[in-house]
Amino acid sequence: MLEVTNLYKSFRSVRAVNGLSLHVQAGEIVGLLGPNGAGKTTTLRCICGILQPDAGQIVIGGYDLARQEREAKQLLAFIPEVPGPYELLTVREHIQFVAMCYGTMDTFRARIDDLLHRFDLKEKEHALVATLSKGMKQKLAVACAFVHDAKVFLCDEPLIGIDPKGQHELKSELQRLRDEGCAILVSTHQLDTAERLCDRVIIMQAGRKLAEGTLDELRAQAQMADSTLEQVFLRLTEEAEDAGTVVSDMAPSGQ
Amino acid sequence: MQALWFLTWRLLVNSVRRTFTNPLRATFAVLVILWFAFTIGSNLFFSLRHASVTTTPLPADLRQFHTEYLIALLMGIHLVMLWQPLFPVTFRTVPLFTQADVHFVFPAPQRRLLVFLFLLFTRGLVNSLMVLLILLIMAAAIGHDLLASLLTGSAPSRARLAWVYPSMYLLAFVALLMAGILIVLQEERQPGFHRRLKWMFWGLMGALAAVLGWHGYRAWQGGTDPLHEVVWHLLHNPTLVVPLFPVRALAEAALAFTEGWTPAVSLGFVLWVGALAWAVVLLWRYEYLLYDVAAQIATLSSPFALRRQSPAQAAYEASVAAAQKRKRTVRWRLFERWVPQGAWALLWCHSLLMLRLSNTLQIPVTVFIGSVVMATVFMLQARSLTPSEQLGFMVAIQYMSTVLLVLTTQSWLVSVIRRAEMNKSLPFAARVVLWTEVLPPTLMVWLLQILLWAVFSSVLPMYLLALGLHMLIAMSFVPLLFTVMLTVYLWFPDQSDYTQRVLLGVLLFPAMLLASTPALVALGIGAWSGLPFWVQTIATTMCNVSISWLSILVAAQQYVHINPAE
Repeated sequence: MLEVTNLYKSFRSVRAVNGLSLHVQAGEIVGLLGPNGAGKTTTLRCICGILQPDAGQIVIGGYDLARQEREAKQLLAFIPEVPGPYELLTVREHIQFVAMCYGTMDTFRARIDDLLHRFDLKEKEHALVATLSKGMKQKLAVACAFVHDAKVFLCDEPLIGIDPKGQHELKSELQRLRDEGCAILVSTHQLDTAERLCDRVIIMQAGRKLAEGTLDELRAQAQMADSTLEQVFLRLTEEAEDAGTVVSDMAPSGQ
Repeated sequence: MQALWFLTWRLLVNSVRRTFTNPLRATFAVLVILWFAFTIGSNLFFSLRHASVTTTPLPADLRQFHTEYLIALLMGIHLVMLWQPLFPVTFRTVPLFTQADVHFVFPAPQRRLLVFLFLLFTRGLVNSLMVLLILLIMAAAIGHDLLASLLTGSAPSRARLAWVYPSMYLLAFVALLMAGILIVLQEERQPGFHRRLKWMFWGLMGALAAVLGWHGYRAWQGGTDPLHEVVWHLLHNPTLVVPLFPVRALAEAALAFTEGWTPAVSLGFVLWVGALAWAVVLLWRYEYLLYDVAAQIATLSSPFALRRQSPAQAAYEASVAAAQKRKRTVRWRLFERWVPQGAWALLWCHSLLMLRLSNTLQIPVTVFIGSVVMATVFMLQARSLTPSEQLGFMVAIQYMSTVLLVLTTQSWLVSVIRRAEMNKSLPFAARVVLWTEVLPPTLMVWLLQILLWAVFSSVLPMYLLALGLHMLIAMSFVPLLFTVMLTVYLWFPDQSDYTQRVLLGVLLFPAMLLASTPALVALGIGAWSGLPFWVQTIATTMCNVSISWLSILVAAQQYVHINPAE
């Protein structure tokens, strides 16, 4: 459903993503893990078309993002890390606006009440977004991602700022979407959540893929049987850092 | 597209609604509306009633100016107004793109170029309309008879060309805004492009100034009027006419309603339409990079919390940190070695920020150099003037440059609001925090004022003391104007809110004028009663210091509750 091949992205002299390849199949949740500055957000932003990759190919549901951008984006939903929604729209207007962007106004009326109830936004339906708390804004961003029939979900730290009940509901939603055949790529620092939620995990460091696989496969790679994902993650990233190979790629050219 | 129209309309409607939910802003909004209705409206009403009688409604005082001098003056004004979009610092204060666009519009299946142009036009136009709104207010205030005659169709044929200037201005503004975007885009593709372009720009301006200066100097040597010579060359010398034609066309368009349609106006339309079309073609060519650029611009005008989230910003900061390790660029050793405590630490931090934001310094220094050049031109012309008249010129330039210098650092005030969330958590009273915010730009303007005084005093050494006292008065206005501007900015902190931006634009100048009134009155009373000038200086300075203190107290009340997103 989502196929990324040899993705490169630099910001001036800093290489943020360095030849990353990954795939997410339909009915699968893949966790994207990595320390700060590993290139997770850049990867997600390239996949959802906010940033233009320097090289590489992104295919979403069979559509090449570079050539069939609109068809590919129609299948995508993106949940940003710290959403900065339009402060001067009401909650309902915001969701309506996103529905209009995706051309799904015909189903909007049928869905809006369900979305507002599901994400505890009903009481704030006519309140300006500016008056919402950080957690409520995050819930709004999640609700906006559900307003059209997306097949691929890109979630950048989706649980940050949401209360425990909201987190539980969102995780259930993601699992439901997986069961319905959607492909979900979740970037997160919450390793215990990733361990329970994700079918597979990709660990990134300095723009490169450090490791990939199920928890058992990663344990085998790190030679740490019966360890938690957190222990495996720390071992693998520290080893790579000690080796110094991946870290040097993050430094500006000339270093 | 329908979605973007919906967005723009709802943002506008909700912005007006929100204004009337805040008592302070609602009061100001009502006052502004009433002012419009009763002053301009009533003037226009009475002029309309007598429109048939008023057959020659052109403002008489405009006719008193020599046309060529007026064109030269307008060219200068446009040069200052229009080159600003070419500097990325503009995008810090004008929120052309927001994080909301990045998070919700850019991932949507919309055509990139259309989205980009729509957002650029609608938000950029709001800014350019501010200038036109101010022009309209001035036109309605001084030329309501003309407006009335235009409405009733009884205006002279030339007066019907009043549409020419706003049209060309909008064309030029949008074309230059796009050029600014293209510069950011090119800088991304070829780092260092902007620096080269900036050098080219200043090189061209330097060459033009040198040509003008040379002709002025020769005229002075030959005993003719150097100012007239400078204006003549500005308008007729091909070396100057060609590079300055874009602003010449705008200047002549601004005078079309009195001087009629000229060839420069026709060529100007061709030029600016061509520039706009060319910019659109270039944007279309680089369509695949437009969201990258927009995301970067959105980062520039975002609150810190959202800015940190941007991968481009994180990478940029990493590269800056690495570059600083590699090569010590501009270091302010004195500030870096100082280890202040308490509120002084905050002052130290803000001073460093001010000094390191080279773009914040660039424009004030330009104004300073412009003031020196202007004074030199006047001096060349002033051979026939008495020394006291020359003193008058110098003093006028000193006061004028004070106001201009203060106005050029408005981007600092926007950053004060963005820092509020961080600074409010520090263990200092709001008024202390605000003083630490106001002092760095104040000190910078003071420094430039002292330099200006040194230049003027070297020309007129016999007026060293008088110029010094005038400098002190001018300096006392600096914190006053900054604190008043800060207060108004804190009343209308959300620059992405259309209504707040309009109210800010309309109220900023009246507030500055009102705050300056006590000092001006004190100065007037002192002059009328024949008090020694040093007494007048003390009185004026005391007035300004008191009002500055009061303004900070008022601003502090607002600062405590500030929430730019509220």
